[in-house]
Amino acid sequence: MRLVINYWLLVICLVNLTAAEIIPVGNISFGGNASYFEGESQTKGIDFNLIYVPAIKLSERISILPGIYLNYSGAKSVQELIGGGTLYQDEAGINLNLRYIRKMRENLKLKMKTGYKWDYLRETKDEDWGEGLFDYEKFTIGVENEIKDFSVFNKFQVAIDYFTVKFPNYVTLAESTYGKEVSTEAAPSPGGNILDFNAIALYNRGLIYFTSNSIFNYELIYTFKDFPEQRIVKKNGEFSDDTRSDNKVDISLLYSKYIKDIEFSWGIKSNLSFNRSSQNHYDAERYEYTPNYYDYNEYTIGPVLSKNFLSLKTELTILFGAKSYKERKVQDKNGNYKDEKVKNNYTAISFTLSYPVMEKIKAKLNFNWFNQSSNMEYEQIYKYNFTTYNLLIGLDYEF
Amino acid sequence: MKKLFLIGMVLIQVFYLFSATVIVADVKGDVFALVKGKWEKIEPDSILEDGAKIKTGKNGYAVLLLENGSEVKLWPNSILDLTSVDPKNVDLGLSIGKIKNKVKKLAKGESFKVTTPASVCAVRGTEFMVEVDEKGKTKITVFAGIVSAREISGIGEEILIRENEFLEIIPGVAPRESVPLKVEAPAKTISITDVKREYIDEVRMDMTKEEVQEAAARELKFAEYEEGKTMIDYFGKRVRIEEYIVRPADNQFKFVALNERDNRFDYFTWKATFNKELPEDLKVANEIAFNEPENGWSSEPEYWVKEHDCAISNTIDKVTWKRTRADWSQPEELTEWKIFPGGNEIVIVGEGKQISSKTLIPSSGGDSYTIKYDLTDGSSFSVDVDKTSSFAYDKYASDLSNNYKEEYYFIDDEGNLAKRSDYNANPLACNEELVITADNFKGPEGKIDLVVEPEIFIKAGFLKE
Repeated sequence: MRLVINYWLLVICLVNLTAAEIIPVGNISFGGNASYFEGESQTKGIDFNLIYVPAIKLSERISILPGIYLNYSGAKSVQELIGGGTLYQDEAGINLNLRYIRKMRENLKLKMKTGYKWDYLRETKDEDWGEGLFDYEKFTIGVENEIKDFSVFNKFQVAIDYFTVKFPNYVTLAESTYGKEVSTEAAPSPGGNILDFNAIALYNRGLIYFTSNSIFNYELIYTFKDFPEQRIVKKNGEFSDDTRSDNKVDISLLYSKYIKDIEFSWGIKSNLSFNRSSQNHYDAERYEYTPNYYDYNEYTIGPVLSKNFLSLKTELTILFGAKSYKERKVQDKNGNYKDEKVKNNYTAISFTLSYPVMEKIKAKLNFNWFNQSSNMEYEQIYKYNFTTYNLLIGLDYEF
Repeated sequence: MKKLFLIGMVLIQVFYLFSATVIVADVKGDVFALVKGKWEKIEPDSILEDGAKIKTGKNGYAVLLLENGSEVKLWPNSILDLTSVDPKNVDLGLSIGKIKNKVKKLAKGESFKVTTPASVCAVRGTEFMVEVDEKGKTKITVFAGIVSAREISGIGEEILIRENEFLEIIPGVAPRESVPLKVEAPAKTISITDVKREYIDEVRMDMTKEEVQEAAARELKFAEYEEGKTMIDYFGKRVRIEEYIVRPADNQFKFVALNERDNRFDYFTWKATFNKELPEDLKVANEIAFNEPENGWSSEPEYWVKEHDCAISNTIDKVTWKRTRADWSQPEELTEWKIFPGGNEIVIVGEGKQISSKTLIPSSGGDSYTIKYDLTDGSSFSVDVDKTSSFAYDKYASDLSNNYKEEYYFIDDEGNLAKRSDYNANPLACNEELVITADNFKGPEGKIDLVVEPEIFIKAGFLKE
């Protein structure tokens, strides 16, 4: 809390010192959320989001954007529902960030950003805030260049971010005090804070207006993740001194066309992701070693549609996707390994209705549906074949 | 200050009364003029004449004021020829870079022309920008008024570029029609609404990045669940599970299962000692050693287990047992069973008390029976087995002192008991939770409570039949 107060005092001082103009932008949304897994109600709760950015315009060229993002969710999102048995009570997050934007030229912007995020997840009812196993803190620092009218692009961005993620409450049981007492001989040594990682992300985005009503948008993201404490498991089940690193490439493509006469837009969206990890896996119960356990390719494609009926806006996105693991083997119902590799096929549907009830306030309904089928038969600890959905109804105030 | 500047300008103009000149009104960074064949750095208020050439470095900006009141701004890395700065007939040559021209309204007969390697453009009272790249490709952007442009060698038609339009001309290619600007107007004309929209775009883009980074963090949590490292036990408690294999010696492996709950830590270790050195891939050895035919092997298998050495504990109370095999052709025997309530040692089997015989006493129900163990020192103990629950839950109570009891719950990942029929159809499709209680246990809740897969206890040869 003290950090939050200090942060805002700094912002106020900055504004007073420079007599700058403040242009606040942001959004507040509030609603009720209910989630279902295989037709059974999972979680119900409220959802709250606040984005507040009192943008400080220091001059025609220089702006500073201090931001605070708050979120609270009392029910699982569709992402949280995947796999079934994840524990969830509620989740809250606070993100403070500061961005410096300088117009180097009329068509060129240089941006610098730093930010810190705290995310708290209570998995069980008796868990206090701040004690969640998967609570994490994220520090980010980054630079971005944005050029307008560059080559064929109307907007072209390149950026680099360095960020670190720490899970302060997560230490492997093997490296905990009790875990070390267990084995006086040949103790397992997987590393302690094995989920903590440092990452460098390179972004490139481009936007092309073919005409004023049709656009093409792409995004390339390369992320390198280094897990300084997560040791690599060897073929014999023990751990080497080398640590895990992941390389991930994400490509997003979107073509969209707006037909003004009927207030309808259609588009095609596609995402491709490739993850390559140096970490292997050892199933200690079945003595099964899997190299490069986290390597996968994932593809999605589908239509993005929106239509206005007077003031009522509707949006529909349908994505057909497949996630194929390079090395991870299929297991039968008893957990025995087969030669086939795991492949999950899924369909994700998102439908949104929004209607202005007052100036700047919209009533919103959001429905997400997700169905997955997999060749994985072993579902003792994690579900691979399921249907899940969630429904959010609320109000949205944008300023 | 502005007045002084204007007076200075007038004086300079008087001085240069009879020659057309340009005043360098502002300079930032490196700006050079070609004087007598040499590039010389110029300062603000320098005077340049007809035929001069001006160049800006990578950080250089310059603003030129022409006699007719027009203004020319040079961007970095630009080279501009002042071919003619006669107020009635201005002719500038931009070979590379970018200039922005603010041209005062011209009288009849006057002209203002910019020539590039690709184009010639002419104006009357307007504001426009000209950019030239290394290949001569020229982009003309008009912010006010009208500019006419044509390809340098005369290919194609002359094109009129109107306000908020731009045209690109490539040398040797007929220019096409000008197209509307798709970007915002220059910064000074941006309205508060436009600024706000820009900020909203900034926030949205930032949120997208945040989502990507948060997804990277969340992916790790899901992987933990997918690998079964977190689940709910029979009592509704969240339990973290870790399982490892270590190799204490060439002919041994040790399985370690660790469980952590909110208020307790339990573990199970099972060390298997083999007849010979184990291969790197344990599966090779275990597929032989743990697949003994019902009637025993007919010849010595390549791998067989000489001893199972197991311990289960809540860190305060502990139970240990050993099963040994004198030879591959001999049956496995329970040779040691000790209970350590709060650190004290109670020997049930071992240290001169070996099992001499085992008798099965069926009960009338069929699903419950008693096994009586006679020991070599003349003592004995019994184990009562109860499998009568309609759900997959077994109870083993021993007539040892202190009400020693083992309970086995067969559960799914959310802690729900499997139905007996489902369990019977496929016993390995469940998780197994073993709870050992005794009156003299000193640890949390007076019990040892461990979740693993059932196959592990079967392989480790626990008391359960």
